[in-house]
Amino acid sequence: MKFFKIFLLAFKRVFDFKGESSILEFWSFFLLNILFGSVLLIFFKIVFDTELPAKIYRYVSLLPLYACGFRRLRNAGISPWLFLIPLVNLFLAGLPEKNKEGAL
Amino acid sequence: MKKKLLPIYLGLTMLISVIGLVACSNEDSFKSQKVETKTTLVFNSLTKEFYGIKDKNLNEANNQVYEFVQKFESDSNMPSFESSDDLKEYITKNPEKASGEYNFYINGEVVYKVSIAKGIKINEIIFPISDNGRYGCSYEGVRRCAVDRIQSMNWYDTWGCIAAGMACVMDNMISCGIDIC
Repeated sequence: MKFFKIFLLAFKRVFDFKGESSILEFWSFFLLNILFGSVLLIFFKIVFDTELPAKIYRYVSLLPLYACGFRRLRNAGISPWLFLIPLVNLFLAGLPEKNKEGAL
Repeated sequence: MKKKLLPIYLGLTMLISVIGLVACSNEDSFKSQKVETKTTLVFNSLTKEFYGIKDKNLNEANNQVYEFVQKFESDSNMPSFESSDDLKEYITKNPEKASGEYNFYINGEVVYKVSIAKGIKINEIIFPISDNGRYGCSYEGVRRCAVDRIQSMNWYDTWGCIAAGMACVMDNMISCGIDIC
């Protein structure tokens, strides 16, 4: 239930590119986002033979994903713009919070 | 502490990514006892004939691409050969050295497998060819389908796929899995 609340929180903070997000907030949203999109895809593909709703969801969820990613990198103490680099952004999003010195 | 470790962390990440990409793109190139040949042909469903890949427009609905791969993995190291005739001559003269496993693949799906011991075929298996179109219902078939779909995307879908990252790859794998299997 906690993860689901965090998932919804990312959508509520969709335009917040200036705040900070914890590791838990980012990864909860990231994983549930993939899971939800996949479930949506499987359901519509099997029942209605269409991928359109899942595709629309993927595009809609890009904004909260990037907002959350930007907040996560700011929370880690590095430039949020690095979140725009594919693959590397996920590793950067796993870095510890900036106030936890030596946690790496 | 963190400032010092960050470049190391980033460097390791890049290194692992490069190793992963190289390993995925050319997985068998380091083993000298493996011989592999690859032929790609286009099948036209109207004429029921195969053509060379340069002779046909791949965007036409009637044309389907088939990739034929032969792999032979020798039990022992073999010398390298300049031509297939040299290889044939070597095996004919030294049948006792022809031991290993031969596999024949169509679109990533194994259709024929045979073990060879000192030039004699043992344990020959012919697999039924899948009826699920150009991709087989296997991990390799689903992977190839997903790769082809991603490569054939238009510019805004490609942009969306890069932005979504793993989610895009997973969606295409799921979609291909449902379509093929």
